[in-house]
Amino acid sequence: MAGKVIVLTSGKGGVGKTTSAAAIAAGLALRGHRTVVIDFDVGLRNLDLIMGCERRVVFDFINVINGDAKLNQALIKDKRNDNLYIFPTSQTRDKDALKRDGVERVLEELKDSFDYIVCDSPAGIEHGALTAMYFADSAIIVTNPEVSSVRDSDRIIGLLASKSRRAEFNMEPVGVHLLLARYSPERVRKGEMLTIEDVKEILSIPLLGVIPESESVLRASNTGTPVVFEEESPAGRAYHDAVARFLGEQRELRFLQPERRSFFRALFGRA
Amino acid sequence: MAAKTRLVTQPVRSGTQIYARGADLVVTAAVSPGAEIIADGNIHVYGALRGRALAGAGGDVDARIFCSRLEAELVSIAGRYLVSEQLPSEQQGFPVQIALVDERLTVTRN
Amino acid sequence: MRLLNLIFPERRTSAVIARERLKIVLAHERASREAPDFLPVLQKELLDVIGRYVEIRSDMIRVNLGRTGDTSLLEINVELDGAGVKPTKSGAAGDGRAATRIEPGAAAPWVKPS
Repeated sequence: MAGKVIVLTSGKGGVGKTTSAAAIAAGLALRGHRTVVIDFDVGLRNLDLIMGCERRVVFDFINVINGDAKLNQALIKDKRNDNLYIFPTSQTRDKDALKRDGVERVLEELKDSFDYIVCDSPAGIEHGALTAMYFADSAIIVTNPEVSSVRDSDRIIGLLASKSRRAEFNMEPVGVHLLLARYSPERVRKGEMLTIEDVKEILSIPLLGVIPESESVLRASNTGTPVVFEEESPAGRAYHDAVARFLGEQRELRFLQPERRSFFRALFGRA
Repeated sequence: MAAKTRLVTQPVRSGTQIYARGADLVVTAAVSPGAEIIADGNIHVYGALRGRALAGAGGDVDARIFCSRLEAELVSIAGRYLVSEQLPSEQQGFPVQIALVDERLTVTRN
Repeated sequence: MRLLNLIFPERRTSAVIARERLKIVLAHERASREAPDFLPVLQKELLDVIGRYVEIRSDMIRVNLGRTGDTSLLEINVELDGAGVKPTKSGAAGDGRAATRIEPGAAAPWVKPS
């Protein structure tokens, strides 16, 4: 079965695309699927840092597109899981280097050896983001419960419906899923933050998961360990749930209640 | 060895690529991670080398890399390279010179 | 559906305000996404038609799609005051991004493991 292309996109920057791409790719790999995660943010690469392989980058996506290197020279195998590979991008070029036919050729080649190809899109709606979403079979729209993010996500959903390859060739539309990140139950309780229902209703796309705001996310990027590898982290577990739902399983939403103080905190340690 | 030397006095920022064609390259500031400095001749960095340095880019196997502080992502001479992880850990953070000896990159303390 | 709201009106927290603003803004944006592109073409065609009867320049025609509350308004303004100058085609903007990229010598011949 040929690999499926999943794009993590949002429009708005800083909402958690790269963190989520890393976590979801790692989550899929932990479930036994051969997964590669690709950085489409040419010139502002971050995926290698979040995945912790920044010291092993030799060749990159642009090198392979231009034919200067072969795919297997650029792919970096993750040390924590044999199913997981990282495909970093160039830091010295910019998004003009992403030629659509080159990207298509590379993705087709990846489909032969991987079950899932996770594309970490840059922010915005320009060439980089449009190229990342063009070949997607599925799209995970990373959104924060905050006005600008929701508005930008709406725009991106519109673009997926009109500017993807599936749309242009009248194929079955790209499957879109909502991933609500940086959710704070406490702020929702106080009426300071949009609720899950608010965002679901406004964007009208199926909810894949809710990732709670968590200290473990900063720790994860500091150490270069995708947050799903941290057993205790609520964010990590929420990503595991999201992966499970993506694979068709039913999971109840968790971590939606404000933390109760003292007793539970003592039992479970830091969030 | 190359006839001229290209001098760079400002920090080389992430994403920047500098190529000293047919010459040596001297940088008197730091080279950030994500930056790439390339020379057909030798490379001297009087600062921290945190990016990528490629000396002898045209094939000169006698080219060398000198730096005040080794923290490089990748070093290369005449096409042979070592990534950060492969550099000897006892040399990390120190002034070193890197040369190609019998097809192998050697890192020696300055 | 909102019957309960009559009995227990929702407190106007900032989240509630955010939700209302978003709904309004997105309703507008989604509608305008459907057909924003016809305006420049409409403007040009009007220029052609009106130009058959009057000496008119492209800057003397303005076409606008606006909204007040729930009503959409198509506004067409035509100025007939100007001295008779030959009609000029409203120029195509063109992408105008001349990309002058100087590639640092694609040189660094890549690479063999040490």
